[in-house]
Amino acid sequence: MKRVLRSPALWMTLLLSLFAVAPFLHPGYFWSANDARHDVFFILQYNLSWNEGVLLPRWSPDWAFGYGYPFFNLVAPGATFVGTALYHFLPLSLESAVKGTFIISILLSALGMWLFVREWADERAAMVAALVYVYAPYHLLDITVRAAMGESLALALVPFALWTLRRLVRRPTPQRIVWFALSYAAIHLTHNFIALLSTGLLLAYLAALAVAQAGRGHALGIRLRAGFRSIVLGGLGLGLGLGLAAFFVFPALLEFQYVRQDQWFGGYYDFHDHFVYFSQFFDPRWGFGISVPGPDDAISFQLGLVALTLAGVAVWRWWRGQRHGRGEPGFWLLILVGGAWLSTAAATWAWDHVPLVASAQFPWRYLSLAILALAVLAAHVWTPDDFTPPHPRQWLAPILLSGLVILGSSRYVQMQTPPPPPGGATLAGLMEFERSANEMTGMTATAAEVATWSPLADLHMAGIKIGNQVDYSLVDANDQLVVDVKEHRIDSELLWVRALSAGQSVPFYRQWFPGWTATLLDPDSGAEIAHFSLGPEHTRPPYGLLTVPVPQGDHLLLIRFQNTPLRTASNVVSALSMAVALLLLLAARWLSPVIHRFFAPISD
Amino acid sequence: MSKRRSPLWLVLLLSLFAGAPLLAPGYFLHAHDAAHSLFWLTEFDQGIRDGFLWPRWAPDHALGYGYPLFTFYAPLVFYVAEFFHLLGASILGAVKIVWGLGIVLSGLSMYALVRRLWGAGPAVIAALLYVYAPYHLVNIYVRSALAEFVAMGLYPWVVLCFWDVLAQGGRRRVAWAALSFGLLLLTHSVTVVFFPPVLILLILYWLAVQAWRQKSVPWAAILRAAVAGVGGAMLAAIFLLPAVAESRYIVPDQWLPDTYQYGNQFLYPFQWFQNNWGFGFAIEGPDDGMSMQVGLWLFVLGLGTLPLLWRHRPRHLFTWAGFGLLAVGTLWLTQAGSHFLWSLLPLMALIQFPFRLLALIDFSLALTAAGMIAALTEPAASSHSQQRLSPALLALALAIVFVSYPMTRPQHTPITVHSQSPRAVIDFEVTYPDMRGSTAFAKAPPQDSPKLAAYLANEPLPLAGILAGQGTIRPLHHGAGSERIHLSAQSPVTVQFYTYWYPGWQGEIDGQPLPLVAAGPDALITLQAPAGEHEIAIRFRNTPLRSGAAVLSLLSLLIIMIVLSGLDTRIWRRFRASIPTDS
Repeated sequence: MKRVLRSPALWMTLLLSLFAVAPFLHPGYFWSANDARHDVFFILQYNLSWNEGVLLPRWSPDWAFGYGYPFFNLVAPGATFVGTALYHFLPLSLESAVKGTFIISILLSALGMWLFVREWADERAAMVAALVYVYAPYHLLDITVRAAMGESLALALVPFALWTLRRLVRRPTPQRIVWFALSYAAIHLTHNFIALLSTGLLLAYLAALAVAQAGRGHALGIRLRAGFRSIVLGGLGLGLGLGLAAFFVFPALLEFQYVRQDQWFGGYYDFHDHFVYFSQFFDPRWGFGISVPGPDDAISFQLGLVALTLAGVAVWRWWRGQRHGRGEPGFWLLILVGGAWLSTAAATWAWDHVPLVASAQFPWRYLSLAILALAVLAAHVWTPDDFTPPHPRQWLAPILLSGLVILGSSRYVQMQTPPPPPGGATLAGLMEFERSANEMTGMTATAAEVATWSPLADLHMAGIKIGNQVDYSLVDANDQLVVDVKEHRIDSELLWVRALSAGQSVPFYRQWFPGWTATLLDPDSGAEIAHFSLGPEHTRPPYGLLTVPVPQGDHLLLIRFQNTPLRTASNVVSALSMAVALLLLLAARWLSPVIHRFFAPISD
Repeated sequence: MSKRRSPLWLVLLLSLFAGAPLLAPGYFLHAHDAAHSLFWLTEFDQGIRDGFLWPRWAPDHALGYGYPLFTFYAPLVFYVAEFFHLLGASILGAVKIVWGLGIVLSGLSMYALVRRLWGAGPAVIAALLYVYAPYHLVNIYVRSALAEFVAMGLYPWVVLCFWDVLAQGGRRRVAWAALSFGLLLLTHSVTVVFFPPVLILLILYWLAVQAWRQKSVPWAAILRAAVAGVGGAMLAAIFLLPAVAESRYIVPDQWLPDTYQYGNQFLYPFQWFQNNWGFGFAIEGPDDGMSMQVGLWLFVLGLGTLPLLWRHRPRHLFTWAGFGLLAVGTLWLTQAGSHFLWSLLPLMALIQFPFRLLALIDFSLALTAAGMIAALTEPAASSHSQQRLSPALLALALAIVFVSYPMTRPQHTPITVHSQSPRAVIDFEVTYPDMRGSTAFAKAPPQDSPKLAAYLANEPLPLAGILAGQGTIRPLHHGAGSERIHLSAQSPVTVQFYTYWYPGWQGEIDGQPLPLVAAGPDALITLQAPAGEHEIAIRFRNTPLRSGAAVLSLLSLLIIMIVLSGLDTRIWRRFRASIPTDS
């Protein structure tokens, strides 16, 4: 670590990343960026749960005009978690918290790529690679145009996973299993699609590393065994990482069916309309619009002139044999071509038929792979021989190239900061946003219609705090039912209920989703009378809102959003994985010889 | 070292791109002060032609009432421009030549400074960094701030001279330092506010380093620097003393309207990095219409390479560190976090725009960049091979030009006859009534004047009128600091010249002194004349203070010239030789 911290190239990399950070120091906020409003409201919602002591909430109360939505059960919350931490613990506005998260993601992407490349290349080459990654147009697009907080933070984490995987395979220790697992888990917890993408990438890279570990010149059996051991090591890390993130991953995968799919994949989100045209890889135009059908998108999908040039030089040098036959550039060239290909219409068949490919929503998201590969390839412009014997003059070319990398993207390091929209970063602003943009209006599977407004939204607009989510319009119209709210929380509601006849039910302004339960309590003793899960049958049209049946008499009714068995099991898996990780860290001293014996590299 | 191998030619060659737009016909009159540079030279030229060796009065300002502009606005660049104008260049041509010389000066002086410190290779880079610094180009093509731009060119020369004075002895070095400092003070008024303190801080820092290294106070160096500083200040006394002493005779608030209040003009740190360009104005808030960037290469090479210090240290490390501290400190001063310091030092308000400090940032970052490049190229390079540019440095030089090349594009406009005539001032003041200056004796800036209609109609200007009594006036002569009329009065009359009264104006009637008073709301020159035929003249003359200041400057200039010509040594030798010795 000391060696890393003492590297001037690392600190230069971070300093030179300031051009990308600078737009976030603007006092305004990029309200017009694609997801900029989402980001603010994600943190607003997450923080509401934190205020009630829920650290990892799954339910977000004000989606769909206050009917709520299990957003963070389905969408990785990592970036929102970071942003909320900044907002909650520092004297920052919501907008500044978002900006802070982006700044962290920019610096992390520089650091991660530098560490990864430094693992096998010179620190100066690592600097250029890291800057290529930071200033890759698609990366800047993600940050300043799309305001894709989760995606950009996840992209920053991918190089960490590659770095830790490489270190693990080449010199395994118990700690390295944990570091790799943690970085892989962090990606899962930060962005669903990048997690999927990086899983494929990491598996491919693991295979490449395994081949490299198998070495040459040994007997086939030894080589196969060495390769197999690498695969097992990587597999252990991946498994542990998946286990650590299980509390989110499995519910997200398996409970996604309980929300309306059309809002995620239909209409504008039909991937067929968003393929990148080949010419767009080289089109220098920049814009702040959105992706539209055809080649005239209002946003840029270029790969970057400088990055492409550097990659071209690297590939040329590799092809000419100056890399002494090492296969790493070849691997990254494949990733570059693969990533670019998947973003074009040439890959339509794969999108239509290969499972999970279409989960990217937008084909251009595969440009993440391309820029990652371009950055790594940029480091291969140099061979280790270029820096031996060491001489200070060797800094000049990397510094020059670093400047050119920044220069190549300097036109794109900008941000539009219009005045805030009506309501700004408040709940009223959220309601306005949902109404005007039809965003964050996710409905669960029991909703026949998508809500366009609600009585709760009226309260938010009037600045009135929500005291309960009982639909009193239906209660007041029912002379057989009396309801008095005792306690209201984001994920629960406690009511005193008097049902004057059988067959009564309490209507709520809450969407159904697996996990909602109802408990009937004795109003005097508080003893539990009945407890049952609320299913689709406990909803009312058209929005599928909860309607909880109560027997005749006086009761206390407690509805809560709780864990389903799946979530509980996932939580247990995560807890166990954490225990294993802790064990590996704490018992590393004793476990190291074992690991070393079984997984020693062939050269050892 | 062979001069033939000096890469200075590369600096000059590559600097051509920065000045190339000046070769285009017309001008860039939409630039903020572009019109000023023309009409101030016009005013200055009138002063010279009216027989004033040191013109102070600008006759067409204040709608023709005149204004002691060059008492408060350092005039050196206008002397240079006037030289070319008298040689035959048009007003515009003369101004363009000064722009061009300013570009060459900034490159040459930075090259000279860095070459002395770190060798020729880094000097090329530093010179190009400085010439192509975004703020340097803003000063030409966006702000068109002629004097400020030329002053930037002098910074490196002044610092080089004082660095020499501290490092080595010698009267000539002291004389050069005094000359350079004095010329800088005579070049740009606002620079007078911030550059001397910076220079003093740099000198104190270097002296402290010297003292720490030598374990003794370098009294000789202190004395040399002090003499040079005082000599320079004396040289500029002709401008400085009247400017300070007479500021009570004008309305300083007119120089500092709200938009010129530093509190409204602080930069936002993101602007240092923003690769934008524009021809608009600095406004309150983060969305200025002009670029406030430090510059890609200045940042990358000047600050971005700081971590390399852990491994590679430039020669003259402490000198280098001084420039680094200056860069960081000045950057800090441009943003709102430094507001309290600006409040503590009221003189800083005269800087008007914190972005003006970008000039110092460009200067210091070019030097830190050069120092670091020297550190990276030095070990294998002898001082001889330092003369040659490596391919990497050559590529860097081209990249520096390449980045700023799009910024060397002004908004070209055609030039009109009016732009180079006294009418230009009037057109400007009619368009911007808030920019009309007035003396402290007037109740308010002029709203109208008897000359205005004549200006606009291109007719001969009425020079004076009769306030009381009967008579007629015939103009005889209108100059930049003198007026003469013929008066035919049937009775004693009160005559009023359409010129602001200001200390220094003196009157004569038929060759005899005549007392002048300031009268009316505009405090115009007024006098009483008896009945009859008279020739009345007024002339703007030196006050005792101005004369004293001029004597100081002349004395200083004389001493400097004597020392630089080596005359002092010859005189001293003759003096020594004339003393009989015992042997």
